[in-house]
Amino acid sequence: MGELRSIAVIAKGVWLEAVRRKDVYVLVLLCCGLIGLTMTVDFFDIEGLTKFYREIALKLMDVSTAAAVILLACRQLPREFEQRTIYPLLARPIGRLTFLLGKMAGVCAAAAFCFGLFMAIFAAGIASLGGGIGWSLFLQHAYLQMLQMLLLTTACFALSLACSPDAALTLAFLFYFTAGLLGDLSVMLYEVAGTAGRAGLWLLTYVLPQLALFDLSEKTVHFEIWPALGPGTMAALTAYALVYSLALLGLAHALFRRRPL
Amino acid sequence: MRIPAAKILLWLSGLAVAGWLAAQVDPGRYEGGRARDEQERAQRNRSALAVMLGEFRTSASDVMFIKTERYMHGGVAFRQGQRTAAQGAEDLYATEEEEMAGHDGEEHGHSHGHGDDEHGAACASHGMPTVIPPAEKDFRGWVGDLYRAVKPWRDSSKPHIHTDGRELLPWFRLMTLSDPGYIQGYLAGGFWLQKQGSAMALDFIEEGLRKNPEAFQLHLSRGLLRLRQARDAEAGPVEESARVLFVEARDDCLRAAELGLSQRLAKVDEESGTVEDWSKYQENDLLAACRLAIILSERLGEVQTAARCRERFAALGPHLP
Repeated sequence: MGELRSIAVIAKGVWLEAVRRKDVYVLVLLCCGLIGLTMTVDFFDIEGLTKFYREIALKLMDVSTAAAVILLACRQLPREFEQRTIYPLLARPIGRLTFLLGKMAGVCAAAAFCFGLFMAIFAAGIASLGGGIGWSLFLQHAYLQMLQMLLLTTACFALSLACSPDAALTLAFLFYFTAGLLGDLSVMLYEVAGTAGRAGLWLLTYVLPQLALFDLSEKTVHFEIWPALGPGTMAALTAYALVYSLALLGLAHALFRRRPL
Repeated sequence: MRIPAAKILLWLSGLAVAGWLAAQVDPGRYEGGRARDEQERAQRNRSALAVMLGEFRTSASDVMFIKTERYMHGGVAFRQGQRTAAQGAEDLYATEEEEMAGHDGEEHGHSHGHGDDEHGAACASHGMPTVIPPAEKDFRGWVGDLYRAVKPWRDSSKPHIHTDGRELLPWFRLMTLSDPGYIQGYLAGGFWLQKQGSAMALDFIEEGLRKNPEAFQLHLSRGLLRLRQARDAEAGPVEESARVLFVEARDDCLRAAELGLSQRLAKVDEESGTVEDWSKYQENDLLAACRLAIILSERLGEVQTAARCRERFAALGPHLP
């Protein structure tokens, strides 16, 4: 119970920091501007073209939330060391794992706050255009995005403990933006690769978390064609995200423990 | 708070560079790999900046064209990219041309690659492999299964999903804004606008012609649009307006045939007699333009013009009426 309370206190600190800092609002405003611009473009005087809006808005929402999470998560631990705020924290009876879990929960809560704002903007935009939202797919997309943010957060923690803050930030963005390509590219490369290359691709597929699996935006855009994902698929995706997040958290914890204070 | 002078200078120089860059961005200054005339391409691409930005623009247009294919199939991604879509005006308006000519595609020795007019360009992709392979060809095992469940995927051997094309229009607008030399974007966009019954179809093709006056496929496309209007007008009470449209359609086809033929002749290798850098879509469009120029001239009672066309276009082989 005490552990949970500690996690909640640390998470609240991160969440408050995220809400008070201007990064999230700048991202939301920027995103709103771009979404608004998308809505104002006139395409051949034809009304009710909502797929384009859905596509652009969802992509902006996803990328902006990921950017907010990467910026927040990569900063968390290095700043505690730089500002020496970690010493009074760990001087209390708080374990390093508890500390990491608290930070993780805080970043995920900030991600949920950011994505929630975007969801409201998205729904308002769709309503003003007179289009529909496939709610079941949209909510599943939101849930999967949160799982993706969990994965990103743990990856950022591990990276920020393994290398310098700038390098961690760069690598995290690189990982996020190339992860979408990895799935399609590996299949194409596998056909032309030799034995060693194929082994490498196989290894890459299972070692690196496939972030693209948590992007349901394409089906959400074409929601009138595709049904919602079944409970089995959702459970498998949840298990997939949890396993990789736990592995990355374990790695971060191991690095954290080895780090001299 | 004091701001150091160096910082202000840096900002100002940044703004100046941004202003200069903005002034240099002119889509018409780059033609990418699609320009027909190599000399003209070389002249236009003298600016290094135009080349850099131009490559980005043409790549963006290609990505958007692939996006239209995916929209057409409800998000399902096919491997062959642009090759799955019709590339020429004749491919898109095949029915129009065939009805005028009074015979089907097989007779004049080429296939259109799509089953019916409604589905236009998209049907060409039937049987094409998908980007996400089927389970038996996917090395990723259960990860592949998850991909097939999460991403829009359908076994390519099964009938395709086809949307009505309406939602593709924003992408055609953007791809031609991004790259005004993207003739294929104008062709396909004009076709889908026409399918929506939009009066903007002709405007869109004409915009393409203003930016690419030498693109014979766009002349043919305008001719085919006017031909459709003429056929609609023919059914109405005012016959004279139909005749005007038939004349305009014929003139467009004639212009397309003349332009296409001169472009084709410039690409003939004198030694081998083969046509270099000339796609089958261009060849089909040229044939269609020539055929329609002859057929429409005959229909308008201008027998001498038709005979002249037949003589002029005889080099294209036995496919002319």
